[in-house]
Amino acid sequence: MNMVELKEVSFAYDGSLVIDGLSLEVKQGEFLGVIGPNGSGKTTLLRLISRVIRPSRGEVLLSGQPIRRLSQREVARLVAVVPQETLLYFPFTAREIVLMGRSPHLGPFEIEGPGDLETCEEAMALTDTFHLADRFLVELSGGEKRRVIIARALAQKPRILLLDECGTFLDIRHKLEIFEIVKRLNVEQGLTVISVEHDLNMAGRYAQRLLLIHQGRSFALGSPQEVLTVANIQEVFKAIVSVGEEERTGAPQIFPMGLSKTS
Amino acid sequence: MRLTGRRFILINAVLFILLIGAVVLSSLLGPGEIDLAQALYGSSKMDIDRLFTLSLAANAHRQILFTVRLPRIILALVVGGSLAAAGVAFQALLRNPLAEPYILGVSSGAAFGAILALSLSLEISFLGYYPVAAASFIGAAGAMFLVYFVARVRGRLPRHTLLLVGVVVNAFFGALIMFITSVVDFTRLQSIIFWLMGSLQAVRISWGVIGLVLLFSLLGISVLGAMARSFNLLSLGDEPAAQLGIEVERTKKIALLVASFITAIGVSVSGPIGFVGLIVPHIMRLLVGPDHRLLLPASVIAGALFLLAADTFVRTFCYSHFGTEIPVGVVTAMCGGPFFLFLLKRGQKKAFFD
Repeated sequence: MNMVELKEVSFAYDGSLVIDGLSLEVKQGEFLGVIGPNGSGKTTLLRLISRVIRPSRGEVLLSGQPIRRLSQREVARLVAVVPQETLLYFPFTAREIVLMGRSPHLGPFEIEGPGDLETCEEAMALTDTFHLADRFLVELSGGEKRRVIIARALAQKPRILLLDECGTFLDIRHKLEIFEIVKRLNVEQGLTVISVEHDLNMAGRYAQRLLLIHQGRSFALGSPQEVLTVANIQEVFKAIVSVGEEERTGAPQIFPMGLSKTS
Repeated sequence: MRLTGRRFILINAVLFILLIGAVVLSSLLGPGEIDLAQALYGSSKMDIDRLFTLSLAANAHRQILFTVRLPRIILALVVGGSLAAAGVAFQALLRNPLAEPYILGVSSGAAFGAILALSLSLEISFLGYYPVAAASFIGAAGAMFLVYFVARVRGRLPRHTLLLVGVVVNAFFGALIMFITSVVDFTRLQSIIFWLMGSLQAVRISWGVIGLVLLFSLLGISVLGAMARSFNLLSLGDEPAAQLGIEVERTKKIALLVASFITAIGVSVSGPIGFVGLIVPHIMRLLVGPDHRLLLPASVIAGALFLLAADTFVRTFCYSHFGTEIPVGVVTAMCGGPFFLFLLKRGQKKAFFD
């Protein structure tokens, strides 16, 4: 069953087309990696799926329902997003931030109960942020902040998790930790994951399928081996790479070589 | 510190008790000495069976209490609470530490209306309200709608646009005010300047109107209170707030209109009393934390308390020492600022971040 579906979706921002007739089907429990050059429309895609923006043309469906028929709250109960950056002006602690992830499930006057606290503590334990619970978010390092935000997304208990370059600012250990957690939730609990990634190797290693976006259109869609080819990367990224295969996992690994001669 | 039901009740209870104490104290203080028992029960001799029978007979103490002091006390509470609530809302809405109720033109619109009425000695009657207050409210409402419709872009209210339009509207009305003050004759000038400083003194409105002011202000404050969780989430940014289930544009519009509305009521009643809407939310945020579900009610009570204290000070101490009441806006400015600086220095980490 399709958890997320896009039907001929276009989105224009101030006249310029960012997404152009994109169609996509993401099955439940799938781990889809979204890759593409800067400005190709990857973040816009995530915005469309989380109902932050509405398509100019076409339809977005979540769990079979047209997204325009769902309220913001209903969408937030289905979809959790880990954004690229976090700005905060108020001195909330990490725990309070993670607790905000429970908002879509609470009434306007409800204060978080023991069940909510437990959910948050689980999420923080999973992301190794429990020891940061009483620290102010603004005091944390970029990586620590990112992990707290991921905990917040997990606290939402979503069916679909959208990650926007969640590996940025994280060292290799924490990067792997996040991907391992997400992969485990994907495999064990059937969490549908759509992960926008700049790191092609991470994408190739963890995603089941990859969507390569170029100028707002679907350039290639398939297994990592099918999508991460020298030809595709040269055409879309204008970069020359060599592609190898990792022995044990069979995941394609990209070795950067140089720039493409054509402009 | 995480918000719990217990903390909410505890902090608000303490503040509320302080407020009741302040009200009682304030009603006892003033140029004429009154005996509370006399005022309420008609006799200074108190015994148990008298406790629940309020006498209806008029006497001097009752006169002072009910026609002079109590209306002023109630208005101080209402205006102080409204300005504080609006301040919290604007700071959340604009995500700006310098935001306060007057930032989007409401006070200059109100000032323009009031000054126009004062200089023309207009005779308008608006639901029994007094001409200056009515004109001031119309001016405030006008400024509010002007800002709303000009700042609206494709159905959305972008933060920066809102701020810019607010500044422009403030400047525009400010210019009009300067024009009027430069051409008006000298005798009117004094009342204009007095109104601009903000004071609860010249208020002699009927109980019916006080009731209306109380009703609409409480209504507005309640609406803002119901949006407390949304304010928490809005502080994460428009997009994360939407992704956590908030209808962001609708929330921003309601917050803007309601906060402007209660500010407009406050300013038309007492003139633009400054600093309450800026400082009380900051101080309360340092004391009780940024969670709006506690911050809002606590700020409302604290704002009411602050303005009541300032106004009581003005009509007792200042009156007896200077022979005349100085406008309460002067007092709020003078003590609000330094106190805030003191708290800021102490709790440097817990203030706003850039």
